[in-house]
Amino acid sequence: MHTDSVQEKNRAKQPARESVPCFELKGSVITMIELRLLQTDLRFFAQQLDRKVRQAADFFHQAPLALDLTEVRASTEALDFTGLCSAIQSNNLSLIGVRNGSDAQLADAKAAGLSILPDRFSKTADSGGSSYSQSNTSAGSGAAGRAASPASASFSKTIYHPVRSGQQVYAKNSDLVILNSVSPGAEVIADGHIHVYGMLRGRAIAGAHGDESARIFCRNLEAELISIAGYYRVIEEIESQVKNQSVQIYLKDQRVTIEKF
Amino acid sequence: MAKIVVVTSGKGGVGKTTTSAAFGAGLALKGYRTVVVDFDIGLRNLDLIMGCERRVVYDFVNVIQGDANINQALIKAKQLDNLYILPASQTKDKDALTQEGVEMILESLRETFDYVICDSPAGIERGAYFAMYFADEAIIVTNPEVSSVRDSDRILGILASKSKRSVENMEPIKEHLLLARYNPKRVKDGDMLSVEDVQDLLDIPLLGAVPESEAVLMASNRGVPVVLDGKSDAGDAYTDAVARFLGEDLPHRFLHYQKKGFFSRLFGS
Ligand SMILES: Nc1ncnc2c1ncn2[C@@H]1O[C@H](COP(=O)(O)OP(=O)(O)O)[C@@H](O)[C@H]1O
Ligand SMILES: [Mg+2]
Repeated sequence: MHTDSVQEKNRAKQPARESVPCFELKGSVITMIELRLLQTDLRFFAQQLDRKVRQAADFFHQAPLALDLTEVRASTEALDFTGLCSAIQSNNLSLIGVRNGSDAQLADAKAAGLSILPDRFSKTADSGGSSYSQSNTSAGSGAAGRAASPASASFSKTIYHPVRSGQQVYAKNSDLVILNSVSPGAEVIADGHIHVYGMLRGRAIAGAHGDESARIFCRNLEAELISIAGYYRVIEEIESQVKNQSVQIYLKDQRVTIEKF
Repeated sequence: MAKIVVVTSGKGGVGKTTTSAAFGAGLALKGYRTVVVDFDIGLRNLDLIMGCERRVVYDFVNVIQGDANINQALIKAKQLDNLYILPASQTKDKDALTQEGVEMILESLRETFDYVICDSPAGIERGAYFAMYFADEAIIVTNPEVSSVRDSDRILGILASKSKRSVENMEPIKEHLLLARYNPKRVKDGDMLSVEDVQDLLDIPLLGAVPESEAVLMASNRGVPVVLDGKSDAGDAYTDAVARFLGEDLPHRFLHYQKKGFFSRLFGS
């Protein structure tokens, strides 16, 4: 009964003003899938992608994807970006952009309407692994001069509460220790190792900046996805012998390897 | 000083409003001055379930906008002296709720009541956000299904990171789990998650499981909170849950399937 007068009053109270901001900018980290092209002959690309996506449709649905050209950048053969795009889109993936191509390839990509991603976010351009351990030791020796160096304390981040669906925790330049459970739909990310002492049911991404020596340690593995330095396995690719076990996960010959304790 | 308790879930239709009404009545029966606040702007139905829709004159938004004072908007429940409700507005304008307005209303209710129960709308939009923002305690209503549990988990994450208590680094919101529409027979047949499954996933203390029951629908059609029913299992389950909420340690009565004997089938129970 009061509806109309209430709405009018509300409108009168809030005139459009130029000083009311239309947006805000925030830094954020998105975990992307990297699609690394291994050859320029793309006759079977659509078919193979289709098969891969079908193995874990839920995981891939609308997932952001970066097309990485490191392995083919030496090639002078032109790439069919339009064909790549339509294969990627028809699998419901969101192509964010292209990176690490030759100048000619990137120009072609741009002409096909794609965005170019800066190299600095990719692991080839970033020696994340070595700089992580280097800064670790230098902070250690520096501590001799200064009492209780706060820098050395920040090499792991500890989370005491459960990490719930929709939440994300990121340990930048450090390890991540979680003394509770990680729910399905939650994401825990570290540039270093990840330790989970409750159930690991969400996604765990270690070595997020390319440290291939990073590991994931967990007491009970039920993860939706595990990833080390960009190499990953989804739940469908985790063998049943290691499910619900206490395990460590590491990279061996560029393969995500799960080992029972 | 009242405690502010949000009843929330993420999903619609799980039993939040039923639970808000039952807790309001249950706390009032125990002698606590209690008010139930309907945050479901545009879709109010708490007043219907509590049988006082015909007495709604002013609502939440009228108070925020200064058209009425809080005492004009509060409606006393028919059957109980200690129980009041603050109805939601029928306006479609969801922006009518403002943080300052909600805070002003909750702070003034805090002065006069022992418990302020906030019945959250579904989803994680404005109304749901305001319903949980000022909470001291939360009752998470969940149905024994994977999707409902997932939504509740998400809400627990929001309580732990977006509420006033978390933003201002105060002691965290006290969390309680209430399983609604629980059907022990379907759990036994494997069609529903069990209490143990849900507790394993959410890992918060259990107030109780309220069985799926016709009595709930009948009570809300008559506008009588189900705890006043006196002879239904759902009413008893809510009464137990309220007692546990107040710190009593009671055994759980309705978790497991019991095949009904001839007499109980004949006479109902
Ligand atoms: N224990 C129960 N047994 C049977 N029906 C129930 C039970 N709890 C709730 N309901 C019914 O489910 C529907 C949704 O309940 P409601 O409390 O309005 O949910 P919400 O507020 O979460 O949307 C209503 O029709 C209600 O009567
Ligand atoms: Mg409701």
